[in-house]
Amino acid sequence: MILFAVRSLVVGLGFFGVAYCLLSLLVVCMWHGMWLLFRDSGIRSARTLFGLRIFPLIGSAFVTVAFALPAFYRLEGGMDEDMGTLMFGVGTALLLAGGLVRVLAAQSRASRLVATWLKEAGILDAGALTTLQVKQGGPPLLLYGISTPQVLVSENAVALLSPDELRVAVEHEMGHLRSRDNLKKLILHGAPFPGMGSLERAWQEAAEFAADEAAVSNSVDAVDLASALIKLCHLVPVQESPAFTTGLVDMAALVNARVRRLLDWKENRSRELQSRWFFWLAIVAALPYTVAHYGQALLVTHRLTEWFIH
Amino acid sequence: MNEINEGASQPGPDRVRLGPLERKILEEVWAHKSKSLTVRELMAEGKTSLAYTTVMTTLDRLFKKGLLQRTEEGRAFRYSAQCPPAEISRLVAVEGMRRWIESSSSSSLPLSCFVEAISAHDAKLLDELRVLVDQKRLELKRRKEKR
Repeated sequence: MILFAVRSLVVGLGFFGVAYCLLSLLVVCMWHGMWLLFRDSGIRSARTLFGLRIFPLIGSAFVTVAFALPAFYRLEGGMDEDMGTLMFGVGTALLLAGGLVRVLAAQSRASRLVATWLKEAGILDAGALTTLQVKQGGPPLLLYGISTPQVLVSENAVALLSPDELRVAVEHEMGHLRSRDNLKKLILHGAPFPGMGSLERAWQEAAEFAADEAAVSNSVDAVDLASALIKLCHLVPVQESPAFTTGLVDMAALVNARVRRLLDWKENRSRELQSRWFFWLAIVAALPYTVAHYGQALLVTHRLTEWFIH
Repeated sequence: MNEINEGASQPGPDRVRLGPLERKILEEVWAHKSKSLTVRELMAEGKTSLAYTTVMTTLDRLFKKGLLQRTEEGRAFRYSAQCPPAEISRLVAVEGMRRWIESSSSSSLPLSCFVEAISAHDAKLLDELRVLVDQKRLELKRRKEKR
């Protein structure tokens, strides 16, 4: 029984590794094709871009759990795994462990850095979120933390911004918080793949636009946020922003486009279409078909697994 | 050939302020990359219509500012660039910013963390955006007053 569990774990990990690499390769090719075709049209949906980036991880985990492992339990007969399967499984386990170590190391570095900034920090009344005013060394404005998020504002930023500009800048960080952008950054940090850099940058750019959109509810707010962006661009942090944080002016190259977009803000503009229903509709539509043909799907998956092994 | 270090005891300048003539001469020296030049060679290029003594004095001033290095050759000096152009641009920007900060009346503003050197292009862009923001603010204010 224990041997069977170990074998299934090794095969599952091996299958996951192969599926992750194949799907990642597919996404990289798709993205670069899309980039060539649509780079001027400005793909701006942060959700879609993040979905595309995370698809290999979610997709391979889903296929492994829903198909590869049940197929192994149901259809596996004798022990026919060889050294190759073991290597694949161990390799994937090492990659996963490597990703985890990468995340933990970055998180530990970020915590240490933020702890030094927070030594003489004072609480600032600038909105719903805990906002702390930090002394020298910190970035102008930054959202830190995943489970207990805080906004850190440098004393230079507080001196430069008017109360309204500061409020709307903190609202921008609230937008990142609602979208769980720091958590998304953590996940991406733990699941790297060559060629995904430009997709990640495009997502980060789209996330900045989305947070701007979320922070602003009228033209006055939009002008205040634009003004805050310009002012904070004049401040250069002594140290680079730590991992899994979002800063108001992290992507300085984007400031021109963001300011112009904010100045073009219209009172009655329609918000980005909520496309989540379309995703769930596709899932619900595909579910009966998958259930009806589940046995056949398991057979195909098992053959695929066998093919990988041999 | 003797290496002469008078007036330039440090390897490079800490602070730089350049006049238009100094900048022009410096750019011509940079154009020759690592090659050193005498005043006569620089004038022989034909790019400058300045008097010999003007070029000589300007090169001497740039040497004293630590922007050029020179070696003696007979009765003349050979000049070459001390720092790359990017470094000089950075120092000029830093100096400009420092002077602006020092002249600022609102000394309570903690400016110590201000940009060490934002490039001229970025500064211009931010100024343009600032103007747009001010215009928009004014427009919104007028609209509000009309109502």
